[in-house]
Amino acid sequence: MSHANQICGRVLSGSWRRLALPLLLLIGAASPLRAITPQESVRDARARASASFSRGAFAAAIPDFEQAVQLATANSLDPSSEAAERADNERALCDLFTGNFGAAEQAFQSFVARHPQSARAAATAVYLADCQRLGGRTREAIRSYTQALQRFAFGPDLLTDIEASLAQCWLA
Amino acid sequence: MRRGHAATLLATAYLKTLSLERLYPLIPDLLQRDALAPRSLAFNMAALEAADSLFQDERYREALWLHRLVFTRAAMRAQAEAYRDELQKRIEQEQKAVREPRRLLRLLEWAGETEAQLKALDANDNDTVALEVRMARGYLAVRREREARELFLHLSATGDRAEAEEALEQAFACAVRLPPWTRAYAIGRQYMDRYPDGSWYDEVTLTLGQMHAREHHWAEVDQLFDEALKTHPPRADADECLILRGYAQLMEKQFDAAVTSLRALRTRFAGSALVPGAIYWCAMAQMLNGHDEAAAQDFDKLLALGPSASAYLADAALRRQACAARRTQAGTNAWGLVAGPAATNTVRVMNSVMPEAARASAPAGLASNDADAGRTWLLRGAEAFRAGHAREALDAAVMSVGLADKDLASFPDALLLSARGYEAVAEDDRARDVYGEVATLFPHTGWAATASERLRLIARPGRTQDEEPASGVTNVLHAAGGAATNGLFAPRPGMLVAPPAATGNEMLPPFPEKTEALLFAPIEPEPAGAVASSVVDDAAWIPFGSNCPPLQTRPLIARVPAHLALPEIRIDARQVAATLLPAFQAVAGDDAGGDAATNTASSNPVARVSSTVTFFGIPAKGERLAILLDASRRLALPEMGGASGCQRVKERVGQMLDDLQDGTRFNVIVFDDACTTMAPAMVPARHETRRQARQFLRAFNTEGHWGLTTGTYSGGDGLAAGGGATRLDLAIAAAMKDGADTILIISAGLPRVQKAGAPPASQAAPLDTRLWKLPDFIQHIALLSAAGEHAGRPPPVIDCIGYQVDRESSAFLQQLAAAYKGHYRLMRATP
Repeated sequence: MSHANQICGRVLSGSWRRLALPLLLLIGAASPLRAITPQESVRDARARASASFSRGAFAAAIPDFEQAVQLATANSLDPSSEAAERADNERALCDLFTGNFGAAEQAFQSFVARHPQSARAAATAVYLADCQRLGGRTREAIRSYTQALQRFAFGPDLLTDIEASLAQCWLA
Repeated sequence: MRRGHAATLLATAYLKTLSLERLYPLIPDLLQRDALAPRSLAFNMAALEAADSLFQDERYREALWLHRLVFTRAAMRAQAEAYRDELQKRIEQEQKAVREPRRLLRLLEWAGETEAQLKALDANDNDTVALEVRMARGYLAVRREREARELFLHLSATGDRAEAEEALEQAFACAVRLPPWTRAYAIGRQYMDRYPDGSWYDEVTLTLGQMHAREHHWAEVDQLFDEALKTHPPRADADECLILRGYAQLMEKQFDAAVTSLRALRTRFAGSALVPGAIYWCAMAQMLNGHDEAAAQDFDKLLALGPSASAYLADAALRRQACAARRTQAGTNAWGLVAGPAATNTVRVMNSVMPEAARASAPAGLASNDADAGRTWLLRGAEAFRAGHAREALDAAVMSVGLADKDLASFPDALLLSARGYEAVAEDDRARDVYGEVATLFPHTGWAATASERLRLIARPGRTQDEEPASGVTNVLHAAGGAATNGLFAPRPGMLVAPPAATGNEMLPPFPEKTEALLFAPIEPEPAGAVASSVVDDAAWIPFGSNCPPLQTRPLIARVPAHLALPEIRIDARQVAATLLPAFQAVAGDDAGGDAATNTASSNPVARVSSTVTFFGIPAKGERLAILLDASRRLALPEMGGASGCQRVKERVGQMLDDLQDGTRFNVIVFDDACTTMAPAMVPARHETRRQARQFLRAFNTEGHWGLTTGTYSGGDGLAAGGGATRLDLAIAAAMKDGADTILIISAGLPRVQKAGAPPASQAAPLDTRLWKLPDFIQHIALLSAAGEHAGRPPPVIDCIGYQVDRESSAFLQQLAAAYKGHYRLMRATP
């Protein structure tokens, strides 16, 4: 992957993201270096994003995650692959950790829609409720936690979190 | 940790519903080191409210337990700060390699909640003293006077004047209940010395006098009342002091002094209920001093009082006759026994010395409703019991009991004597009934305790013909034992000085009517079959002629705590409720490595956070704010608003810091002849740094700290200067060294920065040529922007406030703000 592409991938954000793909393709086409495949671009973007995520740079990870999604969509890559699923999940967690609870909730909802059979579905249901609770929508959070308890069987660790969260919602 | 967290939330809910039985099992979890309870404002306020509610409902023991669960706000803050620091370390560690997002989420939540706790704690007052008062009163209420005494003593040394005085008085009251009275004497003395004009001076001194009297410290009684009556003469209880003092003087054989004190009482307090007692003891002093005629006159006066002196009539009549007899039988002291220190008693007097007179005054039967009759029967019964004539004693006791006029001085004793009589004649079932009656009718008293002990003994198999109904015994024992669990005001043996229903201020029957043994003898269990009870076998209980004092001792703690307002603990309910809301410490921006310029463990998770605040009416926005405050002493001049105006400016700065988003970096820089900074580099806004800023500002322009002549920042960057005053150049340089993107200046005048190399003032060079002007500052800022690690950044936005400035200064600040895309506002000190 070209250095120019890397820089572009990092600096693009917000409304500029919509222009990212054509711009990247243009740069890629004009590059004198070896042409990279869309799969490679997506994989690289995800790798960068995951690396940022793993070292706790959640805000920095978001543009790379978005770029990966856009590249994958533009190239009709399999959105349900394990790599895509993991990236989608981490993308949503980035929003959560940076305190963007509304965005995180939407991202988790998208995740559920895109990966209905995911092994992360149970945890995602709890994260969804967490987003509502942390965003101050305690009634909705109670409903979401309750639904999650009805739909999934949780281990003791997550179950403890859910019940403590429910108690907190009731007290609030 | 999560268990403690959950336990705290659950306990908070139980406290709000007063589900105490469910709460208690959680206490071990609540008191864990890393549990939420010790730092949770919501939990502690719920516990406080629940405890106060229980206290008002007179559920003192439960209230005490809950009050003991409450942490002071200082303790909560310390716990929260330590926990926050620990969390930050863990977050940093976790963020370096995110393997368990859920775990990181929890840590960030806890960090957010802890910050919210600390913010809420900042908004509430310190409550340590108010909480200690609650605990002290709780201990007092459950009769753990030792703990209460120590707490009150502690409060007497820490509270303000009113609180300290009340606490010392309460400590004294507790100490009085804890024999021996060495501590009580010391604490009472301490009160007298510290608060000669105190609210409880009279009560404390009277009580001290009574205590000394009870321990026969007659010289101390005399000395104490001498001092007390001089220190605070217009006291409502002066009559009581006088009679006690007179009695003490009598005991010291200072008969003339005794007569003087007692006559003073009679003269100054003619309407006092103590006048009969004063006449009586005056007569006794005269008699013991050999002035029989004067004594007889006083006895006559007493007898003439009629029913109002009923307590003394029988005795006075006897003594009046004795005086007459002695006057007619010169040299024969028929009353030698009375004057001597050894105890004698009415029975002996009646039977041996004046048998006819005694028999004449003895009641003929139940027809008499005179309280003296009951007493006389009781004395006869006691004498017979001591002599081993159980049935005769029983008969006499029954006669006393049967009198319609029940006198507390004789009735319960008579009941007990009758019960002992029943025991002695092997009628245990009847004895049991009578003991039950005593325990029921006189709960929380020495009588009830004695009755309960006897009940336990006779309830043993073989002592009663039938099996004792367990419930009956239990009920009776419960009633008798109530003093130990419920009744704050139920007197204990040793302090029983009034009937249970007494409110505390009424006079008790005077000396001849009470028995010292009943009041002061400890109740000891006796072996089965013992003939003499601890109550009735002590000769001292018949006080006639003995040297026990008149018993005017009042209940020492005559206040119902539940009726006293507990010291207020102000609670901002919104702040408390806010701590129950979910909170989160968001991770912003950078890697776990954080901002290199401020790479501290605690600052890491919040790297760059922008804030928009209102700066004295100016909207200011930035991620790195520097607040520059002019600390020249002219700021505190009266015409500038004085120290209070200065204080208001500092408060406004503090309010602005409160409005900063957590994580926004800031520094506070103060300038005058020198420049000093709050922190060596920008710090992230959070409760601790906001508090640090307040503390930093607090000292400036206060007594002894006017102006600023030395500082922590001496410059070196930017345009060179040659010294001066109001060194805004230094403050701006310090701010830009910190990488400030927004500078907020509050100045009270024109900066007077000398140009480097300018001629000294002594050469009378024109001012314009020696001091910096606006272009110099602009050049200075341009140089600073180009230098150092923040080089290349755009120059900061500069907002200016002119505090009481003149036109020239105002123009300068306005132009400076305009040059750097900021705003200017003139501020006037408000009165």
